[in-house]
Amino acid sequence: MGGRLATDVVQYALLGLISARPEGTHGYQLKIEFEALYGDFWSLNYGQLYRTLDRLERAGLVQCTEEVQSGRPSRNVFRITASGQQNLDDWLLLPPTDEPRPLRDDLSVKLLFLTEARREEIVALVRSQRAIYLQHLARLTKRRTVLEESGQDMFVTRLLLLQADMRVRTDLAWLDLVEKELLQRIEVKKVPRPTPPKHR
Amino acid sequence: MIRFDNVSKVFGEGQTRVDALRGLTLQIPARQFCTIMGPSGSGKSTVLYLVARLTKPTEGEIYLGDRPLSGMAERDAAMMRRREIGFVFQFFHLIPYLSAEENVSLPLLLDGLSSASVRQQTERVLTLVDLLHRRQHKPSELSGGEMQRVAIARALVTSPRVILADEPTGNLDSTASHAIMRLLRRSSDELGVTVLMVTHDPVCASYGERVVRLLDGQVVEDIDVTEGPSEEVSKHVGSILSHRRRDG
Repeated sequence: MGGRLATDVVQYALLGLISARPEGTHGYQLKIEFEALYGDFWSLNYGQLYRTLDRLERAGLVQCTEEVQSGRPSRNVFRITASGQQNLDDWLLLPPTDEPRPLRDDLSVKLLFLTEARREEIVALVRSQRAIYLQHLARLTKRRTVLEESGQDMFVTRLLLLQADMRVRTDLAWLDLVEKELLQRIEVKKVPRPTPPKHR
Repeated sequence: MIRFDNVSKVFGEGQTRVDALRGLTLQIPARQFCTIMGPSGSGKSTVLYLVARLTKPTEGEIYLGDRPLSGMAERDAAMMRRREIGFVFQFFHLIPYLSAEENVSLPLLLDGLSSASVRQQTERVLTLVDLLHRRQHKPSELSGGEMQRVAIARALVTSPRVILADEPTGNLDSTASHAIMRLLRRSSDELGVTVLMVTHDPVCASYGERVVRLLDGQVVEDIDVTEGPSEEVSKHVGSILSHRRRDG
């Protein structure tokens, strides 16, 4: 379900992760951390990551130093600057202005265009979509368990996970409704249904 | 471990006939945490009643381990329920005038265990559900989540092979629900209990490894929820948080 995230939000997400590591961090670690925290919600590729880091550096929000490692190629280490920290703190306090998310998943588009005669195939689609949501939810649940057992203060992460729970729950409730209505229509059209066993 | 072999269950007849299950075939391996979902009237609860031999199938057979259940004598069925099956219900079903401790120890007392081992087993499960410090409290002095934890302790006290849970979080808020689900998860992981749970809540279902969806008394979906993209990132979560500035 990883959608794309607006450029400036990626920028602040990375800035936040960098600020959490005053000792410095590098690109690979940032990517892993970004995915661990947000991977179920947003995807981030290396191109986007390094473009963003470059932009942050040019804006003076992070500082990049080359660090020599013994026996391995040297690497770029990023640290937040005072102006970066100020910038992050300012942004954190701004009210969010995200537009409401449009109903844009594949299934709703397919529902629009699949013809009546193919209702059974739509039911199959609804069911595979449900399986995907449940698997997604199972991953979130594992993550929640790991977080809670780590004993860390996880105020924001917990809220994000709750939001994800609520969204998936809503999506699943909608799928249940779609399936129910489709099956009712199929029944009206006398598509064969399982025959009940003989009464003893 | 639990096997349904072409099971049908009919309630009533004529105008009031209800086909609760229609040729259900299902195997639940030992230690699995399996969730049954489906709309009202799809036959979910009937599955639980049949495993507990609280009712018999109209056709087909149910096996617990190797034993077929429909021919079992009532006495043996009652014994099996008491020793091998733990029940967790939506409305807890605790006895109001008994303390948490007394509620939990009841199945052992019915089985005639020595008072020393009753005490020992009761303390073991009350510790597991983190309620040892509330052992003297009556149900009315406990929160909903605590009452359900007492009920889980009572279900586990006989070291059952199976826990049957019918909407165990139907009456709880989300925080309490997560605590209950983690306990059921641990029962399966750490105690090797097979958990069969009926729920409407997909978040609860996501604690198990399998979701079976029923519709009109038949399995329409059988989902391995542990499948899907790799889990690798979760491993890093702990390390990140230990470096992370406090969220709060």
